[in-house]
Amino acid sequence: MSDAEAEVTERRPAERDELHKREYDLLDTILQDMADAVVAEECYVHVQPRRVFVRVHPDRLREFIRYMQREHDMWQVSTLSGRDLGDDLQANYHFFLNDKKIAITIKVNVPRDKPEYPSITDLVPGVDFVENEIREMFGIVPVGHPNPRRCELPENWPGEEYPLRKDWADPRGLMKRSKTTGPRPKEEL
Amino acid sequence: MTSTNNRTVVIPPRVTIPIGPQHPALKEPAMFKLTVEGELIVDAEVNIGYNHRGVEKLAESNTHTQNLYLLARICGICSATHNGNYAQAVESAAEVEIPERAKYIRTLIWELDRIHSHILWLGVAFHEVGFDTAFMYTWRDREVAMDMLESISGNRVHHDMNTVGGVRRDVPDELVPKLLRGFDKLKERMRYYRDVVLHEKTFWDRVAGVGILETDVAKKMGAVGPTARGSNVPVDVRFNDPTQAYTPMMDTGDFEMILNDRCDVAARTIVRVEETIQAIEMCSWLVKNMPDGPIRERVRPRIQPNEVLARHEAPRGELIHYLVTNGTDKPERIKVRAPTHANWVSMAHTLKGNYLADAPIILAAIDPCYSCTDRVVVVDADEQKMELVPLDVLRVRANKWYKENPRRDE
Amino acid sequence: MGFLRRLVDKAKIKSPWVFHFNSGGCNGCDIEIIAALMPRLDLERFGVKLVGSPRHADIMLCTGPVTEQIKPRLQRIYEQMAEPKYVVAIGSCACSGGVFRGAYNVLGGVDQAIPVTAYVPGCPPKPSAIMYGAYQLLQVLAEIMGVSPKELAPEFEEPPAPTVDTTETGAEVAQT
Repeated sequence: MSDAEAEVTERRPAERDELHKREYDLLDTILQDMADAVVAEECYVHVQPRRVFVRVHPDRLREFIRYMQREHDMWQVSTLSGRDLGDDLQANYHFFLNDKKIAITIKVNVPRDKPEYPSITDLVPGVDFVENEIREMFGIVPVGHPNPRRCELPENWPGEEYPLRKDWADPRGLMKRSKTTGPRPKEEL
Repeated sequence: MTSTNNRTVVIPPRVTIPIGPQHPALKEPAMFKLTVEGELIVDAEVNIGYNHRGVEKLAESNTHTQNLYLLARICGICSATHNGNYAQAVESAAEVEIPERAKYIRTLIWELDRIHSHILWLGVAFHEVGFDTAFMYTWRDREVAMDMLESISGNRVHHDMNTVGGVRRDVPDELVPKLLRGFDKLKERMRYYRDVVLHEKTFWDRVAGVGILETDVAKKMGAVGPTARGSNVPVDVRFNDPTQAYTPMMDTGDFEMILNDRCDVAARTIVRVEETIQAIEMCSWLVKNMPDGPIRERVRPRIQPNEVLARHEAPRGELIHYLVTNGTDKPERIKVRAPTHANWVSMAHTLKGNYLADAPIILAAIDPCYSCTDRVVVVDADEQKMELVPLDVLRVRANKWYKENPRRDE
Repeated sequence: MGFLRRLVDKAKIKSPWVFHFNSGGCNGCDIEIIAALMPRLDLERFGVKLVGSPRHADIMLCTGPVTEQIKPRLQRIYEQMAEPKYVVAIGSCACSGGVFRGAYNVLGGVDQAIPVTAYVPGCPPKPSAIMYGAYQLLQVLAEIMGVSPKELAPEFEEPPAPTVDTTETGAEVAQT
């Protein structure tokens, strides 16, 4: 996370052994075909079986998704999760390749001051709701989303606050307010 | 609430009225917005968010063990799944291997949870079509499963059996004959309900041909669980990505993924009933083949930095926990994708083209994790007025409509 | 069981109609409420009926920590009920926020939005605990309406103190 622990990362790449042969075959194919779209040193096969992580440049995301749908028959979409990495914000798409039985996660890093990347809702209709959610929670904007609307936060939420970012300091004291110690007096109704 | 008995069935021009949750005419914020022409639904929009509690933010300030209890209470009906999946995620992050007996007990609770959830859904489905007798019967039989869960874990709902490194309680040997007897009784009752579903015309006519979700649409929209398997889409984490005691279970080859290609609500019903019978057989297999040994393993509270994707087949579909740890005893980021969330997209698609009277059973067919007091807004394109209809009023109206208009030919 | 007899007597004075509302909870308490009406532990034999509209109800059973979006709905539904009306908060989340204390979208209990008469803690409370909570509420109702319990059941007395009986297996059996 910080520079002092730069070597202690979250990536746990697996050895190239028998157990991870299929995952490594998939990763090698991807690195070969889309070598300039991916960031090769952040793509790896996890120690856990059947997990591959790939990092893609934001402007090449749509091309990469189309490639995966065409070449590797990727139709099962799981979800989209966001992360706050400090200087960047990250959007992770989780897919599952049903015939190879491998779960692939596609990571996209966007800078904090301009967190935009092209939306893939027209290619993958299943991410409709979660792209709205990541826009509300993190402020990462998927450009070109057909139906941007408020989905989870209440209507009276101010527009510029993104609760899941690490620097959201709860300016209105909502988290403290929920630790109640007794009923509110009658004046509230 | 207004009465709309004078609604005519003339085909009017289709008008889309953009009504957001903040329209001044709405008495309450709407959750579904159905555009109708007469009795036919032509468009549906889904607005969710009433159950948003901010769990993911709260989980970042709790330790891993506290999160086990917090995440179990995301959903009451499938709480063992969140609990076990999170434990599985943390153990993968710490890269520890838990004892075999713990894996079997964890899987046993998962399968018992599936049984009770599917029987619950079956009762609710019977209730939605007005078949209250079967509603009472199924919930009475569900008590057998709840008794078994209570004798193993101590609580009927929210079992909290898991801890990081294994399970908290053991299944004593004296309990095994009681469990096996319970499984036999449940299997016999489920066979009876399978007959009711297939051969009882009052139920079958209400669910056959209703709420069609084609296979390729289900694939694109990311449908999961029995909603997808009822449309012949082969997604099931137990067979595609097995963990815990599913690995030896799949190796025996006795169990097959249950698929159905009817693509309608009846298919989802049949898939769930068959899955319940299969889950009972899985439970019997687990109880008979449970290995001896310890039930938990010591895991240090500080988990190394890691990112894991833990997947599990909840009764409603595929459940994902994406966990990032950072070397402390609190998680860095936990993302929970509950299966119902993935099914809303396909549900908006299935509502179109169906009669309004079918809306309750279609809404119930994806088995949403919401209580029955959600409101449905019915927008009448003809008379350009709008009413807020509670779901039970819609259900009563639907049953009355079906009584007056006997079943159309399939 | 003594309190069951007393519950039956009290139900004679008023059979309460209940309305159930989930204010953002996990549904655990809701399925226990419905299980209390199912054949195993049948509340309907005491006249307790689950109605679909707040205008017909005497008692509102409320579950769930109140989320920000649902608070206006909850208050509006409370206003729609006819006097005399009572609210029972079922479950730890409805009492005080439960596990969700500290979350940003949660108000922390039903009593932050509407006045509450009775609290039934538990996560979730078993159906028999819900029935006991309903019984306690009916006691309150009886006092408010001026019907003393002694008039209903002449042999009313305080429940016997729980006896602790250790059997051979060493288990304690408390009798209420």
